[in-house]
Amino acid sequence: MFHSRKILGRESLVTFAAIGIGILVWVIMPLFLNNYWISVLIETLVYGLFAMGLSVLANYTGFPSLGQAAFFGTGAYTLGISLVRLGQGQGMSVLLSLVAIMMVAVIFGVLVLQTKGIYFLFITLGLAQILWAIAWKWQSVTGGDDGLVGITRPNLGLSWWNLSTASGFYYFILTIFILAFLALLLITKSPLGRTFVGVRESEVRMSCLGYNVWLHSYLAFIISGFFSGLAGILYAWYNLFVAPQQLSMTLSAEGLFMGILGGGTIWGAFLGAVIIVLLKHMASFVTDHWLLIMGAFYIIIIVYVPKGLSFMLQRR
Amino acid sequence: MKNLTYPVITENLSVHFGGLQAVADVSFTAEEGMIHAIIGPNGAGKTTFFNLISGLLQPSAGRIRLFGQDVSKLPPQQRAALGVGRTFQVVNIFSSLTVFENLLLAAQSQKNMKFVFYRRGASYRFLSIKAREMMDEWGFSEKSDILAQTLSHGDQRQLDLMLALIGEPKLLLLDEPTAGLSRAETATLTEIIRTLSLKTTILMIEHDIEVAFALARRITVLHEGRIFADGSPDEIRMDPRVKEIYLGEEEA
Repeated sequence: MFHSRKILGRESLVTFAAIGIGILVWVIMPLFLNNYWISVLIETLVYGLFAMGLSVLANYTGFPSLGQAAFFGTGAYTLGISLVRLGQGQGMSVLLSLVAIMMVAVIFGVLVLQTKGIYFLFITLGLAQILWAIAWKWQSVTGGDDGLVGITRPNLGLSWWNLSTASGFYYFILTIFILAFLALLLITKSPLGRTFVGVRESEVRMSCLGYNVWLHSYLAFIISGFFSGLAGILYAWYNLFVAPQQLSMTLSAEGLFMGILGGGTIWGAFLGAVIIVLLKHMASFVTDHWLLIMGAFYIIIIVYVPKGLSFMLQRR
Repeated sequence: MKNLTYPVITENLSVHFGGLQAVADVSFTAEEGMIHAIIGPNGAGKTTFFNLISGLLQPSAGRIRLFGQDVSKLPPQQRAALGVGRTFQVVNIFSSLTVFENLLLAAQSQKNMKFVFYRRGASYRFLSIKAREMMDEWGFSEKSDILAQTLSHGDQRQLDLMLALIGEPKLLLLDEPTAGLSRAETATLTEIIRTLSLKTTILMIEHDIEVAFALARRITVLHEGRIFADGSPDEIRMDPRVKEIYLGEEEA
């Protein structure tokens, strides 16, 4: 008798099949789409990765943050500044960006984990706003509100894989996304990932079972920030332009909402991101006031499906 | 020398919350391999005393030794690692996980695997075997896949206890293990606790005085944060002062 759900066991066959099909769909789709829709697909991957990273912290560990854009923006800006202002190569710029993301995670983590609940929400927001203000004010480096222009895409040096074409770039992003997605799935199903859920469910129980709750929360914060920051690097390559918007509370809140919409799982957060990105583009076809449509959509979801979509699918 | 082997020794242990002296000057010893009940009227400081022993609270004064080691400054997880398991007055389980997942999470804290992030938890066979064995033993095999929050209250109490036990603690703190249970469930749990006491030292807060008298070899009565009486069940039963503060209150 093998029972079990979610963390291990029987479900994994279904999970693997679903992941396989999902990947296949994202691999095949661009063959039938024009460049505009390919860029929409890239956005689903970039924001999907951002939301999945945040999901580790917010949904798994139970620390809803309003400052996750700090990582996204740090990744995007560091890559851009390194490429444009420092004249570094792509490899060095990626390395610098990852170091910067980790530094922000390590330092912010110590500060924000002094707090809980609503205070956590505000301290994460506050710290992200500090980075936003730096990006806004430090014009000589960041370009201020004009943004940072002149970012370039890497060249893989392969004749058959050219990143300056829409589909070539798409598959590059897709490859990184899939690796990150699989890594996140593994982490959330690992012993460490289980402890994140334990922290969310009962900190006292965890500490009396022998877990250092602070340390596990801290690791969740860092892992979460790493993946959301990685999404920021991809964004800079995609958009070739970085602005303070990438450090904004709007982005953080959107990420949080994608996770809620998805229902609290890693793949759910991606699903949430796909829906939001698609809806944004479609709403903007229909009307200039597309933000109204998004607002109404957020309200409807929170009122009628507060536990999200994957929750609806899982529990019959 | 023998002193060193006592599972619990507290020396002049005190804690206060603002002006309230919740535990005051408690010097207490629990002997190995028996059930030691702690009773007392509401607000006597029993749960606070447990929180001090398990490390959820830091004492304002005094010291705590567990198995001969001074743990007064250690956080709860390090005391758990020394072999302290506990249950809670209000059931404390991982509500939105299944019974099986609850046990896995509790079991994996025992090994140096809690920080492993590059391997699926399911690949640790011995953990699932351990969890399944425990579910078999406790009659939970059919409930393996059920979310903990949907279990009956009695089953939740048992799961709480299973979480504390799967790491095979040397000292078990039970905070009102029979609270909210039916008569039949109380009888079952009483038997379980009796069996457990063969393997581990048990400190038990018990509101049901009959359960305490039936199970414990030694009883400590707390009253207003202080040790009011301490002795065998018979001695406590005969003590007129105890009747006055505790048993009398029950009858009133």
